[in-house]
Amino acid sequence: MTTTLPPVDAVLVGFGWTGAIMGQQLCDEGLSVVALERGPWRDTATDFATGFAQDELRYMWRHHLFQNVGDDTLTIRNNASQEALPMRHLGSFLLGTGVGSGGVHWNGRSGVSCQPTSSPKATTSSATASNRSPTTT
Amino acid sequence: MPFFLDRQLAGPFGRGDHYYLGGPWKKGVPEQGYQLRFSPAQLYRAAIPAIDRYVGAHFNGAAFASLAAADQDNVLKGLEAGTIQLGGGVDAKVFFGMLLQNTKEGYFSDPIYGGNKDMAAWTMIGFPGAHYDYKEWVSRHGERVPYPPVGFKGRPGWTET
Repeated sequence: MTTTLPPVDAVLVGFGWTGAIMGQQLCDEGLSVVALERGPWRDTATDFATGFAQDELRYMWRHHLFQNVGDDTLTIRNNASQEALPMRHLGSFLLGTGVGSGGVHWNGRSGVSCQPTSSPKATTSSATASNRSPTTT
Repeated sequence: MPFFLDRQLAGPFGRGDHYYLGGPWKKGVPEQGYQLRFSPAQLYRAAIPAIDRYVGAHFNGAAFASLAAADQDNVLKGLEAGTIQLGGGVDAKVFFGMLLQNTKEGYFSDPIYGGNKDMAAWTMIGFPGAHYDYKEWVSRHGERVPYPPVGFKGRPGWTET
């Protein structure tokens, strides 16, 4: 049976950093907002308390931060000659789950841009000046 | 290390709570990752007797544990390289990879998990462990942090009277 809920001005799909900031701004403007989040609720005090937030085994290797492929997985192949097979355990890419987990996870993995990617204009100008093809880095 | 492995295999990791364990079951290519139908604990339970069967057949009925160290090394190398066929749906190379990974985890994770006794692995590599934070050290590149290691439950000196 369909349950009809009261209408709102905006629905946010996903309650990570982006959804939370948008929700704050929309609410500040006086709009009514509902945020949908399929993962568990998380807050700093209970889920990332200093003292055990450093637990690499729990959060990283046992996938506490990540979507559980036991609940829902996808199939994958690297080219059309292969047969797509289920991803049985996350490995090469790690999808976050729960409130803010993608942000927590990817923030933890943010790298520092190397010189060529952080200054494409300078790299291109330099390459052109020395009569070489512009690089694509 | 055995304490760590036993506890991990008895819990959610061993059960494969974070694995998809349904069909279809195909071998796939290495880039498609783990494709066995076993949960981690099932893989250990299938692989260990399969290794002993292999050892028994090739070393006059001996078990792996009773082999000379050099022979144990050779069997382990054969498992790692996948040159040993174990049968029973057990992929030797996959099992070796999981065993090695879990061994590293136990050796270097917090002592609350049963390995890394007295934080010996952290002491060995000079890792100071789970201090409250390292904010004061963020800009001190390349300096050795002189603190003794501390785990989630503190360190032995904290509870002595």
